[in-house]
Amino acid sequence: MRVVRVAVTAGLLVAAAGAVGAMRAATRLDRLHVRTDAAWAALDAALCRRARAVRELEGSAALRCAADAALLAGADGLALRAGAAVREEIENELGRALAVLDRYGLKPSRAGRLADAQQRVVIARRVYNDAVRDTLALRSRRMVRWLRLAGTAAAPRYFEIAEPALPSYGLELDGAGA
Amino acid sequence: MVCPYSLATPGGVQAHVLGLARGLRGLGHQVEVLAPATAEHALPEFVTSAGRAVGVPYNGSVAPLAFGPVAVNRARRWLRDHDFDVLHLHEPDSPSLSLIVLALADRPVVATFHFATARSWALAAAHGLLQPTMEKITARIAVSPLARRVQVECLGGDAVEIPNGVDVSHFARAHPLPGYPRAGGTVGFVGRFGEPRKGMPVLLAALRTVARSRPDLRLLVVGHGDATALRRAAGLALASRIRVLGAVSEAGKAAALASMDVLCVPAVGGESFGIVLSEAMAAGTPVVASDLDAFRLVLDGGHAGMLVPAGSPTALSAALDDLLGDPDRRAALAAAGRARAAMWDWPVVARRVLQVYETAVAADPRRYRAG
Repeated sequence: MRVVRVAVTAGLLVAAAGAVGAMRAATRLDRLHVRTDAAWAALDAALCRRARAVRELEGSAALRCAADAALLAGADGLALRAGAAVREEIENELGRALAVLDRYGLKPSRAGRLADAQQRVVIARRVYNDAVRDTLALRSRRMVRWLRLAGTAAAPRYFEIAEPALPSYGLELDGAGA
Repeated sequence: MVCPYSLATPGGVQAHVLGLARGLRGLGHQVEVLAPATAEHALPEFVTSAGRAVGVPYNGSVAPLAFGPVAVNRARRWLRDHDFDVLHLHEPDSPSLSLIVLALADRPVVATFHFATARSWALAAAHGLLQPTMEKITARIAVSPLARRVQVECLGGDAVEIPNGVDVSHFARAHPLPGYPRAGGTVGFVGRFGEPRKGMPVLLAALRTVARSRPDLRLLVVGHGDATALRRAAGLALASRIRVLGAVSEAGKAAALASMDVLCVPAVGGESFGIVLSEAMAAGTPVVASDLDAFRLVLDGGHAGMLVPAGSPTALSAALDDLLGDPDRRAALAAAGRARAAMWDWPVVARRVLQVYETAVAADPRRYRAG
């Protein structure tokens, strides 16, 4: 009798510990999904800001087209899940158009706004990809996969665009390509 | 902003935290700093003490950290008393005040990583335990390309690169020491001169050649180290021409830099930024440095200072001889250095940090959850 009781108690303890662990992981996962979504919102805003800064310039037709496409993509909410690859392509197109832009011909205030907007895209993309990396790391854990703790939430996806070759130091613009 | 190391001891991270806080306040932002400190140490009005720090052997040196119930309580109260938009933690991957605040944090967190050292075994072991806490970091900043590489390769994250700031006006305003500048020429060295990787032996070998044709040339040395051993290493011909100031205050360093005709940084490796280069440039002192990656970046590929092959006394002596005999060249390098140093001025660096803060606030999960 006594042996059975001990075995049952031990079994219950293990189950309880497992449940606590699973709940913790679920909470963390939920927090990470929210962090990723919030980081996406920030990246989306930074991309739209860059497109608006480009739209402000009296640039070439190609540049205007690329900026319009990016603005449309932003307005359509072409988000990380549906159409992420399309959005990446559109933003890369804009990046390429910007890479060949001669900044020294621009008004200093506009060039400054553009450089600021570009820098913010770089920051926001790192913030977003960091959130994705942490989320994917937790989702790949065995317990999370077996217990399906992620539920129906789709796995987040890295946002991969070529970064402009901003100088390592300082804010001066060298206009070098991506 | 949270500084993990005690403000009672001088150090790079402490100087960075205070400089950045002043820079941000200068731009009209409200900044509060939480740091370990001792009661008798005079603190700027925006600093809250988290209690006395204890020396903790960490990463091969003794770090003045605060970690315990007192620190936890003070951190909790500090967070409750202020409604911060963003928390900026320095070195949160060490067992420190920054880690405590990170564990307590419920808002966007920006973390700055200063060191370019790979993480220790203790940290590697703690990685699994720390991961849930580290997941709260919204955005990361690295102070150099090397520190960023450590982030990417060891800690599994990416970071935005924002260099260390320099108080440009402090160095630009400094007056030379009494009796300087000297007619015979002064070569300067700043750093722990006893460490071989800082390159003092290369400089001494180079100076032996240069000194032959320049009888009044002197070497001015600032930094920690054994002066007697240095004179012995210099040999009879040079020993009498060396003046060692030892470890000096920030004001003393600025005055010393202003007294030099040329600052020589002959380090042979292991440098991640080279803050002294940027300080000399701010002071208008021409720089001759080894062609290490870090120095090449600071000196703009040689436009804002001279680069010589690392570890070559012959090349160094030729460069020093050229510069000492050419006042126009020195003036041109000083002007180029000053122009370049402006980008490390705290207000400029603070603006870049603000971009990161604003991105972190835009990525605030609380805002997102609330809709």
